[in-house]
This record gives sequence, structure tokens and C-alpha cells, in this order.
Amino acid sequence: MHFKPSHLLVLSALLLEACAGVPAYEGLPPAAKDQISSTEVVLPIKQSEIYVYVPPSNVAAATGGGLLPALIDVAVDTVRTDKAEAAVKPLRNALIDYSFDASMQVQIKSALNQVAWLHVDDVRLSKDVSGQTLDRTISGAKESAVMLASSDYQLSNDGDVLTVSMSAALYPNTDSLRALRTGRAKSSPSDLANAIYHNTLTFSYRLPAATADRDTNIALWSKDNGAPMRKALDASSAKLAWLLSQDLQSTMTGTPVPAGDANGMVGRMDNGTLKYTANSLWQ
Amino acid sequence: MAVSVSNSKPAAALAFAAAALAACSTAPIGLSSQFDPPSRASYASGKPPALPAELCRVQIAHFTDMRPDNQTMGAMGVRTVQADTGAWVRSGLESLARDSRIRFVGTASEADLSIDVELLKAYVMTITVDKASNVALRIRYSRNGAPQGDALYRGTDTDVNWANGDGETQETLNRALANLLEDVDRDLMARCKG
Repeated sequence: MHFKPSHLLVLSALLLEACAGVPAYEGLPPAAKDQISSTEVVLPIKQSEIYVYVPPSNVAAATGGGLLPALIDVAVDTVRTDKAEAAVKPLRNALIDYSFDASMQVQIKSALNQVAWLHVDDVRLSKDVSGQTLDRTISGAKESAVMLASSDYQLSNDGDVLTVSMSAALYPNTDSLRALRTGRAKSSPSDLANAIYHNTLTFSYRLPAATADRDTNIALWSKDNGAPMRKALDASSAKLAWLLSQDLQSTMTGTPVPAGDANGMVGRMDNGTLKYTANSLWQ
Repeated sequence: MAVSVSNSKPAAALAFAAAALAACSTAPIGLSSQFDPPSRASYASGKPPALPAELCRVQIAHFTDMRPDNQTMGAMGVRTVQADTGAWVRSGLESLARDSRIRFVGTASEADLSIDVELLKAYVMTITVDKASNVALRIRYSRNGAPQGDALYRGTDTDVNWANGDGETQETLNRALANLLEDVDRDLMARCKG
């Protein structure tokens, strides 16, 4: 029997495939509007602080694969991550008393309370993002629907662009709402296949005075006790909360999500996801 | 390139597959509340007993966990990390007594320095193929009831994430806390002398 290193990669890909499988967008069926009597909103936010995105090394891909290039990739990634973590430290220290989670909670509550037919009961945060906990949140809910809206916030590798993304899904908790599901039900309650709405919303903002140097950019974000980053993160949660409320309502009213506002542009990608690109921050 | 499989290679393949399966696990990681300093932590290395004049008597007056969720310490992939973080950090602070110049005392009247400790951050996260740990504390110093300033401390550790494993998670967080404690150790001695 011969065993090729590539077999290991195929094996791991097959095993990891079991973890994957995320569809991009499914609009809320208009019929849901009259059947939602209450909604619990949970905001799982795994991270505790901002981080720098590290692009994965591609030595293995460039050299046609193999175990040795794969190990080189791991070593390169670790060095890059180590440097990125050191670089972002001043910004983290400047934001030590800032809570992105609290900002998002306030903005989501405000935006979804404007959508009267959702009947939002409560908006709560969760740092526990394990599948079991999310499943229990849905299966144990008393409300007729549960929304999970998880967020991630990061700086680009050069430290010049802030990107905040939100993956939102609305799960039915009554038979009449469950009947609106288009796909086949899955056993795990938090599986996206069980949702009657889901989408990914992204906010991005480039530091106006950005340079090509990461340390310089992070120093700019960090100045005045991190004021520029605090403002950008607050703006991101406000815009994403607004986008979510617009996206939920768009299939109800047949009105597309607005193409933008005074501070930026909204684009719906081919796969249905939404992206807000800010060109300025607001007061 | 075809590789003939020796006896050790199927075992390696199985170990690899097991690691990949472990990476798929979503079960929470439960950590020990006992800090175990890495052997290379400078303050924990063997030092000669301190002379009486070098001794720094420290009281931990208050310890407050300021984090909004004091049960969770981030996540390894989708595995949430759970621990009694307060107990873990306290045991870390108490490990400073391995520096023979530091002695913890119970009351302010016995102490050269009293410290109020705020736990601000303690988490691990995964980035590409790595895991990154951070622990941040604010320590307010006082002497005989008079404030002596405060300082923010942050310890970090970055390493390869092998399989979202329990052991490697405990180790990276211990290394991050040890990294922070080295700075605290240095400051305690400097402030005691001052």
C-alpha cells in the first residue's frame, strides 16, 4: 500500500467538511410578518478585543502542495500572527475600557424595536458561542422566534481598514413559522438550514490618513485614547443594526435595501449578502 | 511522490485524523483554576533567599473581575473556553511568592505595598492556524492607605493551534499570564524599594 501526503490533506478536508456548510442569504418570507408574536435576540460575540487579520501563507498552493510546504505555511503564519498580535497591543490598551459588545447591543435593540412586527422582547449578549449553547438558546426559547446575530471585528493586515461583519439568522419556534422554512430541517436547532432568514452583513471603513505602514496606522487609530477606533466601532454597530432591520423588512415591503446614505454606500452582492462601505464617520 | 507506509505512518495518519476530528469538536473546554507557571518564567526560577532588606511584603487588598462575562475565556475555534478565571488569576498572583523577595501578607498594616487588582481581559482566540492569548490587569498600588498610582499590564502568547485542544489552551493562557506576572514582579520590587 502506498500512502501519499496528499491523502492526509484530502482526509482532513473531508473531516473538516463536517464543520462547514454555510449558505449565503435567504430572505424572510412575507408570511412570517403576521405570525411572529415575540422575538428573542441573542448576540454571540466570540472575541474580546479587536485583532489584525493575517492572510494565510500560500507556499503549499504555489508549489503544488505537499507536507513540507504545508509546514512552511504554518511557520510563516505563526510568525505573521505573532507580529500582528504585538502590533495591535497599543490599540487594545487604548480601548481597554471600551465595549464593542455593549455598543452593538444598544444599536440592535434600537434598530429592531423599530420593526414593530418582530415584537422584540430582549436583546442579550453571549460570549459562549458553542453549538450546544446556541442550540439550547433556540430550543429553550419561549418566544415564537429567535434571532442569533453574531459579530466579528478586525483590522486589515496593514491596519488601515476596519471590517465588522455580522451573521444574522432568524429561527422559527412555532409550527406555523417552521412551515415557512424552504430547506429541509436539520437536527441541530442552530443549523442555518433551520432558519427562515439569514444573511451576512459587512461594514468597512478605511482610515482617511492611512499609510502603508501597519504600526503607523495602529498609532493613528489609537490616538486620544483610541477615539478614532471607538468612533468607527460605534458607527459600525449603528450601520449594521440599521442594515439588518432594512434587510428583514425588504422582502415584506418589496422595497430594496437603500443604496446608501450620507456616510457611505450599500451594495448587495451577487450571493445576496450586504456590504456597507463607509466614506466618513458621523457624529 | 509516493510514500511507502511503514508501521509508524498509519499511526501518524490516525493521529492526524484524530486531531482533525478534535478540531471539529464543539464541546466546551474546561480549564483548571490553578495557574501553573512555565518553567522559564523568570520570577519563578530558583533564587537565593532574600535578605530582610530586600523583602517586599504585599497585600492583595481587593480583586475584582471587571469582565462582563466572568465564565468565558474566549474560544478555540467554535469551542468555548470556560474556567473560574478569577481563581486562576489569583493563583497566578500568589505564585509571585516563588520570587523569594516577595511575601504576601494578610493586612495593610503588615504590608509595604497593598494592591487592588482589576481583571480586565483574559481570553484565547484563534487566528488562521494559530491561537493567541491575552490577559490584562490593572493594578492600583497604595502604601499605608495612600495611593501610589496604577499600571495596566498585558501578557500575551501566540502559538500554533494544533487541534483546539484542552491542554494546549491551558498552556497558552498560562504562558500569557506568566508573561504579565514578570512585569508585575518587576514593578512590585521597584515600588517596594521606592
